[in-house]
Amino acid sequence: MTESLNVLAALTVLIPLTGSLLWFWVSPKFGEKTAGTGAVLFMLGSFLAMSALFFQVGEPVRILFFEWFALTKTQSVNFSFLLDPLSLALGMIVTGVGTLIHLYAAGYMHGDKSFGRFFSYLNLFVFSMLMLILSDSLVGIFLGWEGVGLCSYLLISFWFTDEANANAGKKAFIVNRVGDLGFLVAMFSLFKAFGTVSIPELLTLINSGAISADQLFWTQFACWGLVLGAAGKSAQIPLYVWLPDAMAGPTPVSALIHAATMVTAGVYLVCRLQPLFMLHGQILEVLAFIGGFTAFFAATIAIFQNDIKKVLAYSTISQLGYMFLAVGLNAPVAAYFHLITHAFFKALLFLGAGSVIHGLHHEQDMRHMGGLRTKMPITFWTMTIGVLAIAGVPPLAGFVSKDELLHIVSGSHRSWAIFFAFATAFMTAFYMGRLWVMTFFGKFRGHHEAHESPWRMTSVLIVLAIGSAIAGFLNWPILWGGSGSLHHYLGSVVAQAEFPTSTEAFASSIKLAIGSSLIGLLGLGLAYWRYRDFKGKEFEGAVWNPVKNKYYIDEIYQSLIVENLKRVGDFFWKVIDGRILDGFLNGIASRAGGASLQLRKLQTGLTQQYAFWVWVGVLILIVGAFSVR
Amino acid sequence: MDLHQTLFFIFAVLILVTAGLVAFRPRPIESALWLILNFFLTAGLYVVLGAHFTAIIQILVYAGAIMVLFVFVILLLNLDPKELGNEDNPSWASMVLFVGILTFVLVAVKLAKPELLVPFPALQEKSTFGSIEALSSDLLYKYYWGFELAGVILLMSIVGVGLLAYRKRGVATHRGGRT
Amino acid sequence: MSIPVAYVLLLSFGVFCMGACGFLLRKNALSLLICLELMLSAVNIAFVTFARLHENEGGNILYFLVITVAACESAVGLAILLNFFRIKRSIRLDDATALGVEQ
Repeated sequence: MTESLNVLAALTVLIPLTGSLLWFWVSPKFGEKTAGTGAVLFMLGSFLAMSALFFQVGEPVRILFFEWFALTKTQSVNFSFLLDPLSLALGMIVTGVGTLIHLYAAGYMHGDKSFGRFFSYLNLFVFSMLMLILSDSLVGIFLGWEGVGLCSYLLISFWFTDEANANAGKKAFIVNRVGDLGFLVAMFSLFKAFGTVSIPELLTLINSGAISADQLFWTQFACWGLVLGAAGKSAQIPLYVWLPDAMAGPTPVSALIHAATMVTAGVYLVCRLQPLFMLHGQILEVLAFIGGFTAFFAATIAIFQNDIKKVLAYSTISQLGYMFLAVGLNAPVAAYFHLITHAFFKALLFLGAGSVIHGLHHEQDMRHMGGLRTKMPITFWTMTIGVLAIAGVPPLAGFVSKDELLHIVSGSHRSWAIFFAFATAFMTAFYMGRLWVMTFFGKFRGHHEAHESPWRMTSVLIVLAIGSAIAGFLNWPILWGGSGSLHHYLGSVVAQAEFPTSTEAFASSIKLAIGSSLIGLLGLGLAYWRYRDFKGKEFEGAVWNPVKNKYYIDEIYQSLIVENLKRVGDFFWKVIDGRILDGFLNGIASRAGGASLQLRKLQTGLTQQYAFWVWVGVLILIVGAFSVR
Repeated sequence: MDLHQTLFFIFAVLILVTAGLVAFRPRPIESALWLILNFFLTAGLYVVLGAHFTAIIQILVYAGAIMVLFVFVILLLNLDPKELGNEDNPSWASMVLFVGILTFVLVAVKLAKPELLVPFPALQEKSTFGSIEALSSDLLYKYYWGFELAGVILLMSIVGVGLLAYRKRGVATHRGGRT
Repeated sequence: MSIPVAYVLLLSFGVFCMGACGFLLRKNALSLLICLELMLSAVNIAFVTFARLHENEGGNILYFLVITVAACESAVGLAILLNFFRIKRSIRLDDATALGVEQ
């Protein structure tokens, strides 16, 4: 049994890794079709292996592959996997949605001259993400953490010949680095506190209850470090600034990495180390506040964006905020549920936007869209489902997970959380409705002729739309007669308060459900009414300028941090490297040259001078010979 | 002072004087002629030392062949005294003279050793020093390598000089001016 | 024979030094070669002296070899000098700096 598990686990990870080594040269040699089909099949293989694991594993299983390196004389870090509900659920999402997006990308990237390189990077990303999810030691997670950061950079700046794209990639990588610092601090602090980086051991030690004051001190550092890391990877305040810029990458990248998978790494990490955070409840509160505020903040910005992908980017930031809000309020299952449904409908929305962009020959400004309902029907209907899902219209997946979140927020008795959550829900519905209406309704305001996308893209849209519709039933609340299967599944690994089952609870939950649905419909309706005959004028007036300009956060970061860092860098470059080091080395060279210049004066060509020096030399020899005696 | 010493001193002084004249006279022809005289005096010194054959060879070969060659070349070149280059370079001259005198003094000091200040030991009873028989037998028996190599050197120099003197027909040489 | 040996050697060395100084101070190639002969002759005196001192004919033999070499060298040197004169029309040493470097 364990043998087959080992093999399956290895296959899941090794197939994408092998793939990443293949496509960049297979594509130029054997053609796009071969590379594309190969990449999709590889991903499918990985998904099947992952599914096999998912269905076979009952109790959490640890698989040890090999000893990686020795930490101390007695300890070593191992290359091993931990297969439990948390990792397997997310693993399924990654490989499943990943396969779909690979298929979509085979259509979207058609004709691109770096077709193969794209799929190599994508496969590498999937490998890294799986490493992150499946690893059972912090070092292995970090390997995956860095790996997805790298692939994010590579894929954002995929069309790097355009400087703007390269800058976006750089920004993503550098901002992520700050988060990585947090992760490293956390890892070191945990090692200092508990003497191990293996997660099962850590959790056992933490759960055992015997925590010394010294250990408490270090775990505090660890928690803050993890908050920083999660803020970096999952684009929360203050490290969210890279995500909107990351839209410079091809749309499949935005869908896979910046909607469905990489950005969820932060949520995964916090859920995984939940016992650690339970030691420091106040940090969890802070995390919840960050999440809630980010959700609200990003939603306000999203309303004013005109680029279709930027709206979705800020929407992702906002929805991630929801997840952290849930985790912070001790509801990791709800957060995970929203993570899963969000993966479906956000990937759907991004891919749909990609279809629109593709159909309009790379037009991304919504002010130049409109009336695409008739021209791109499949895209229209699938995106409609996505929009309804994110707005929280029952019985779609988004409604169920969001409703659970709102339920938890209401029960938390924190007014700020309630305000953030409900206000964000309304704004989400509004800006998504705005996007929906501006793109698909009204008169066509564009320049090019629009056409529907090829089958590779539309088929994926359909599958994701179905997923967005029915994923809610994965975890239909027990209160309403559902199975709550996700609760049961994850409940073995994470702690969440049980849902009350009394009749009062039932009544209030229905009221809440109706309320949240109404909010969603209200938002959508308002958007429809406003933007149905969009003629290009909205939000005139100087008062809207700060929000339109994203509250000038990028500008503030630039002047406060980036410019000063550049100054430090310039100092090191021009003064220390340029003047001092280069000057020293050049000085040596020029002194050598100067010395040779002086020595050259001996070479006069005059025989007598040469003879003279011979004589002097002999004289010295004679004197030396005599004095030695 | 006996005969040997007297003769030696006369010859020594004259040798030194003529050597100085050779080294410091401006015109090459004067140097050459004083050098011939120097060689004659050196031959006399050899006689005093008892190397008769060596003295004869000195006159015959050194003064009689080599110096004649020099004189021939000087006459052939027929140079204007102005073309001989007589600009003075006092710093160079003083440097050279300084080093020269320094060397001489250093070596002289070293030479003034008690064991060297003694007179020459007397020759043995039946000494053949300086005779042709002794010389030639050593040359051909003991030092035959040197003898043969000397022949080779002579051959080489004959060939070399012949090559250097060769003048291709029709090749114009650089006429006039310094390049 | 009551001549102190050191005196003869000093004589030889003195002539040599004078020849060396002349060699270094002359301006034309011909005088240079003449001084060279002077130096060789001085060395010959030393050889013969030592031969007499140790009653060894080897010194005399060496004298012959030195003379041979001197003859060859002066012949070749004069031939070179004549070629040089043919090309440069001068025997000044200042004109013979082709192997030197531009200062």
